[in-house]
Amino acid sequence: MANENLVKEMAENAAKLANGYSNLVQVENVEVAATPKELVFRQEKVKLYRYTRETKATVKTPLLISYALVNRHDMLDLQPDRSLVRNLLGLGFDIYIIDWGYPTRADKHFSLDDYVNWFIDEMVDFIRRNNKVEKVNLMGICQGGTLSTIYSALHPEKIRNLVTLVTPIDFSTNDGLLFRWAKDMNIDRLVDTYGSVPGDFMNNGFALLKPMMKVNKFMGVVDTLQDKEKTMNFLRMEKWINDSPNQAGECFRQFLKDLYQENKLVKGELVVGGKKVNLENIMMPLLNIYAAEDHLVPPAATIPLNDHVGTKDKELYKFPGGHIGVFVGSRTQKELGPAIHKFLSNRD
Amino acid sequence: MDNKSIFDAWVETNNKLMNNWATSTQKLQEAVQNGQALEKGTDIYQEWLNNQTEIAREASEKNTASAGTLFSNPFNGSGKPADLYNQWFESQQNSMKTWFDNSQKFFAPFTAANPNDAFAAFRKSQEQWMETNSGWMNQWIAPFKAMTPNIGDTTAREAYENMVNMSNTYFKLYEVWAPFYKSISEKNFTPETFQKYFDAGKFKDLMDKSFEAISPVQLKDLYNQFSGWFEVINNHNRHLFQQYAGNMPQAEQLMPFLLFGNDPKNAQNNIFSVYQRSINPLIRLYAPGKESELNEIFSKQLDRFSQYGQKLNELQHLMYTTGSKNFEKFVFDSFEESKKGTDMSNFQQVFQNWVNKNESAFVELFRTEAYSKLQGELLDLGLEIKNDFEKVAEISLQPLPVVLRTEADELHQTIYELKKRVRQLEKLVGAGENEEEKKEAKSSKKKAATA
Repeated sequence: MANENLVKEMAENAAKLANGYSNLVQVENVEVAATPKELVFRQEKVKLYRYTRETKATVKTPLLISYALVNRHDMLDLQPDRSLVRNLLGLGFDIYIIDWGYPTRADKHFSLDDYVNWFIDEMVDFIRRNNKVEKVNLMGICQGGTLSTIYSALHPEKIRNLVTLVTPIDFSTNDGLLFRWAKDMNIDRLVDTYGSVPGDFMNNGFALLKPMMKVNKFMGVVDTLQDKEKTMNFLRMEKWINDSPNQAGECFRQFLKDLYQENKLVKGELVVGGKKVNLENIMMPLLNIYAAEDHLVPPAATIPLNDHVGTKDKELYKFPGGHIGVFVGSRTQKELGPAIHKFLSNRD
Repeated sequence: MDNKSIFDAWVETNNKLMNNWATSTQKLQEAVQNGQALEKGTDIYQEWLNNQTEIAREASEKNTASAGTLFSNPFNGSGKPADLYNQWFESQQNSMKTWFDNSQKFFAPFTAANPNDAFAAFRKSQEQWMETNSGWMNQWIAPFKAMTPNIGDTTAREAYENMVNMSNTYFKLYEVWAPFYKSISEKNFTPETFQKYFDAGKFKDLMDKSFEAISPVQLKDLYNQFSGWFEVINNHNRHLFQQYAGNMPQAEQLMPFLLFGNDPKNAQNNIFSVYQRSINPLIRLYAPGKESELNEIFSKQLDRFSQYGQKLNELQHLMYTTGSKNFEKFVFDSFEESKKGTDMSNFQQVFQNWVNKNESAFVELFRTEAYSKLQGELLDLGLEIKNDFEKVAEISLQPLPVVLRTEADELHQTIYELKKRVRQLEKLVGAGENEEEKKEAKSSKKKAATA
């Protein structure tokens, strides 16, 4: 009889919730991004961190990581055994990372030009001075990859190698829901109303991409609540998901209108800081990594980068899994770091 | 007694209660099938009742025994768990009482009438029990909800809250699914059965629970917020005047020596008049001359509310239609699966299956141009309403000594432009210095070569 089964399930569920409660009540702080790093440079709210190395880097060219403005870079260092950063450190890189901070309404005027030609450029120059090198390796992730691509096209003389991960470039696709929806949004009204677009607004949109995911994951996690380690893994991911900074209005406006709505980057029509962004200027080696089952940035938006850049030294790396799995999956730890290392150390 | 054992005891008690219910139900079914319902019904009921009483007594004893130790438990020194446990126990005792009452109704038919009538009544009672069951399910969840604030870490607390809320969705699906399951397992499911058992109200609840975190702002909430806000402004305005007027006689008695004139009510000559003039801008919340502007905004607001409501209805219609169509397909598919021999008694699997099918159906909906456009229009209207709110707020706050949002925005813009200018100048200076350094280096080289 179904009712009896349900009662059993409910009893089991209650037991799991109750025991899980005992574990959760003891959680004092869900810590993410624990790999030691030092603040070395700052412009406005944007900070540059350098990861601490115990040994000398074996890859000569320093690596600058630019994460998306949406969500936080902590994803790359969620926990010691799921950390692309830790992995790359172990492989001999000298790593810097940009922390974009938490823009408020007061920061609404910061534009795409500011993010590319001010913040990234200042960070790159700092590293060049600090490490006494002419060029740096630039690795951009998701939207951070788009910014890095634009930067590399505008300042190719400062970049030795460009690595892009799950990076949207061709916005003409309707494969991803965000790409579809953005075309029907009044971006001007959104930015004019909010100033800086709230992180919650973005998060609600992301939640709709997989509408039943929330139900699914919270029903599923009850089963593992008794396992402290698994529970902490889950909570770290939850912390990252909920940590969604606002988007500086003017940068958001141009990103959405010029890219999502008008696809100006691949058309060669994007203007940043008064200069046209020509992807053919990207003559440095390019490693373009995409996730085969990415629901946020579909492969159709990522792959075309290789068709538009000027360099002949370019590789496309297909990673099985989704947008987030690229960074935290167990396969990542074994494969992704070494693939990046191989590409960059061969071109050091 | 630590928390773990408290909840173990709770689970144990509930398991016992449910097992007792399940056992007596089985016995009753057997009795009905053997034509002994009338004869054995009362005994089964009595046995069930005795067992329930015994379980309740045992649980009560444990509760009393553990209460003292709970308060001294360093794990939660506040005594909150004990309070919670007591609250929980009280709520369980109440639900137990409801059970007793319901079970009396449940078994009543077996004390009279013939077994055939009793059988029909038994079926009906089962359905009734299902109805009260949903209340019991909520009862089951309630203590978990009450415990949530004890979790200190925000991430952990929110996660736990979500887990409890999602259990709610689970039970909601069960409520909607149960009649179909019954029909499917009895192999008498037909398209008519679907029409007969589909409860649109419960289904709407299920949809609302499933999309709780992501559904658009409800018109009603928005409207309530809107009218509430104006009420606050109006009340504030009125109360300020009332308070002021009310204070006058008292102030007159307390401070006659401060009056400038002999007549305290001479508005031109006393301190109250000075005071009134000084605070006049504060208590006139609507800036003079702005009434017509406000009226215009209000009238636009009403218009936009109506448009927003219409669009929201369209969106919700799309969501509910997609959900119910998917559910219908899910039920029919389940029936086909059941005919092939698939076991449908594991509700966890049923739930998972429904979740997966729902996900696909909604992603398909979200991909459509119709949905995308509607969502865009709704967002736009929502933003217009928000803009109007802010305009009204600005107008209302104008007479007060506060910095308005537009003023702050202008200030931020000026600061931003100045910072950019400083940066440009720094760059220019830097470039000039570099040029100088290069020149110096060149001339030093030349000099060195000449020497």
